[in-house]
Amino acid sequence: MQKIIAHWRKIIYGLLGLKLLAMLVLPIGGDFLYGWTYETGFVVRTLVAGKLPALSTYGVYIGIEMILAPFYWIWTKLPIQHPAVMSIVQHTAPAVSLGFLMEIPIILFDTATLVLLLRIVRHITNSEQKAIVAGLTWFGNPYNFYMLYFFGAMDIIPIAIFLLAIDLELEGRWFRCGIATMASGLLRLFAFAAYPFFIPLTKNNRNRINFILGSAIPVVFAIGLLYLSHDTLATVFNIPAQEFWLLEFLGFSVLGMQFVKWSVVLVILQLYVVARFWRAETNIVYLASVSLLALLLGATLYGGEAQHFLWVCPLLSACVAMHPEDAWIYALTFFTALISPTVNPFHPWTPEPRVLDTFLAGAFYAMKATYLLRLNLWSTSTRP
Amino acid sequence: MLVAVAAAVKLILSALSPASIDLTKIIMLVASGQAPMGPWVALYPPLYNETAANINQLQAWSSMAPFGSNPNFAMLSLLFRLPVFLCDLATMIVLFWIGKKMKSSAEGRLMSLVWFLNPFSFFGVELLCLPDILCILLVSLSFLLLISERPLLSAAALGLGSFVKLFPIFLLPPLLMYMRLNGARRRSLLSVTFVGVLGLFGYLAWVLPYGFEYLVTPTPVTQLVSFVGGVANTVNSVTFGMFAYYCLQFIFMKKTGPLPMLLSALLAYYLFAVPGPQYLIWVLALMAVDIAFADHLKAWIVSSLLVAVFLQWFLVSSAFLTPSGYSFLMFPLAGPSLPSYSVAIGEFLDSRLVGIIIMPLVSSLTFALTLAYTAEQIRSWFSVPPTK
Repeated sequence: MQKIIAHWRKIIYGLLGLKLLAMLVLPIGGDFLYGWTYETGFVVRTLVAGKLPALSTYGVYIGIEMILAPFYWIWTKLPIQHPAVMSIVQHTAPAVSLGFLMEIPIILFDTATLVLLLRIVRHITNSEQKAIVAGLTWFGNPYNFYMLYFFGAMDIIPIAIFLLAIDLELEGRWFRCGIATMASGLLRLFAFAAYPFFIPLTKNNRNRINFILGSAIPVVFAIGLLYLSHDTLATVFNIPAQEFWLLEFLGFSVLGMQFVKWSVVLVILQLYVVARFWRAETNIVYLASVSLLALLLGATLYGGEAQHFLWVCPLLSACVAMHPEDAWIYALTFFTALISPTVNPFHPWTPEPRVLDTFLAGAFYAMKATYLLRLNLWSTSTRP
Repeated sequence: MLVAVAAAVKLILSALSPASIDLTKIIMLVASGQAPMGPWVALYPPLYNETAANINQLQAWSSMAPFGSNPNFAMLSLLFRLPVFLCDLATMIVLFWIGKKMKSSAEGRLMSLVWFLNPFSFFGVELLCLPDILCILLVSLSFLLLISERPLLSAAALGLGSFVKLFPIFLLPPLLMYMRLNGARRRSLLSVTFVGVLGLFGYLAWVLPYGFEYLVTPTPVTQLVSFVGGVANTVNSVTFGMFAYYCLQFIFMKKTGPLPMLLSALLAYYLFAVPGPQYLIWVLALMAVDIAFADHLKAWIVSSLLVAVFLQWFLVSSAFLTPSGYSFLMFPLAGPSLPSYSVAIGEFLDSRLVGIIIMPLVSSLTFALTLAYTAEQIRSWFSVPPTK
């Protein structure tokens, strides 16, 4: 272990090289990368025509697609053929260049996540060694590698922004922390589950006001863009009707009650546990981890779609660095994540009937629940 | 002074408000000639006269809009709600005595005001006009007698409550556990059990003449027995939940006051069996007692819960719609030539936004806050103090 930590920079550079190679070699057909590329193409065409893409047309991922747009636009300027994404032939110059360009944001934000993790864990533990463990368990984690470079999970963009919020919180920059948290939430809803968990750490009214004011800025910015693109707030309210799958965040119904949703109940109960039982000197990494794990346990039967677990991965890396004695929970959680039916890269080729699916999904769910319980125990004092 | 003003407002609104859906159902039940006649009838003087002419007039009243031209209808409305109002007032007085007994008059005043001035209790008691208030009064009385160290009378109050409606019977096991923890003798425990169970038999005595119908069919005057029925050969969640709850209470509880024991049992039953917003009223009187001694966080939980449950009730009842087409809040919601604000409210309630986002969020929030509040009660079994 000491040897690995001593050569951590070389390992990071090696992993970086491997990831760059993967970007060049892997086809653009990855489940999500293809979808992102396809949708971004429309956004770029709208922007090039001098219009702002509208939420009502492009849906809730418009924010991430706007971030991806410059990379797609660069591809359109390359002196090569530019076939439509649907008819692109794999391993040709247009496909390779497009795949590589569209994965640049992934590697940029993946690396930013690494840097932020190093900073966060160093800040909390005052230990260079623990920071390196956190960095390596993130950057070298096969689950993350698969989700980012095979799957093309652009969730890494809001994740990195969310980690930036955590870093800013640790530095006591509450205004900027508010901006980053809200910006992350506007790109992907997950960060909203963690939002109330920041509040107990504000300690005084000044910080609280700064945090809330900071949070208002991305909202105002988003509303401005909304109206500039000729949409209204009604468009936002109609999103759940158009994109019904968004409601999977709410989870399944509790005790057969139609409107009582598991993930909302779990997050609120976790907030109660934090407010009542957690030690005052706890840190935001634990708070953010439990909020996201609670959300994942609630959302959908599998406890979140494949790419959703990615949200909590950097935080779990920080946790394992801070509590190496419980590394087995970390290892088992990621092992079960990799073999769970919604993630398992070999799943499509496993023979029917898939008798093991429920077992594997249950094992992953159980490990997330265990991690949630363990985090609560780390942070809770039950001394009389 | 405050109580006098609140009482006057309640009486005026009781006279003006339209009949609730539940009250209309009670009148229809009596009109059908199939009503299980129990102690609840005593609460409704207009129903004493069961002649066809009277019943017809009552049915006409139940669909009348407020502010009608006939002043007799306002009087009828008041007559229906007056006994219920008196029970409400009596509950307030019992709560005052509970507070005085537990600490001082100041706590007593706080408890009684939390109960009496709460809009939720006004909606749940006078406006709905259900016999549940009699049970709530008897449960509060039972608690007062328990802390006055009169367990047999306390059990008798519970028994009487169970005679009216079933839910107070679920407080009998924690009552027995409390007595056992405080060194009660076997004979005393047996007599309390006997008195308490007598109420249950009393309830069954006026419900069972109609077979099992009123055990499995909900009406405003009887209570659905959630332990029976459902899909055959499957686990009944209420049976499982309540058995598990009582077992855990028996195993883990070492020494605690009577309030967390009774309140947590009632909350557990509410959560497992009837987690609808209007039934939270069953717990509200004991909650008012608890609030007087609540810390900052518990006060937050209770306030948020009351707001959330009120909002949930507003949404699930289509803005407190009554058979008259008017809301309890006195504005029209159905019928011809509606004002624009009524149309806007109706459109909002029918919108997909409410159905698929706001309702799940509000309902889940209410459920989670009730769970958190129950956890607050259960926490005291273990005497785990807050660490911050």
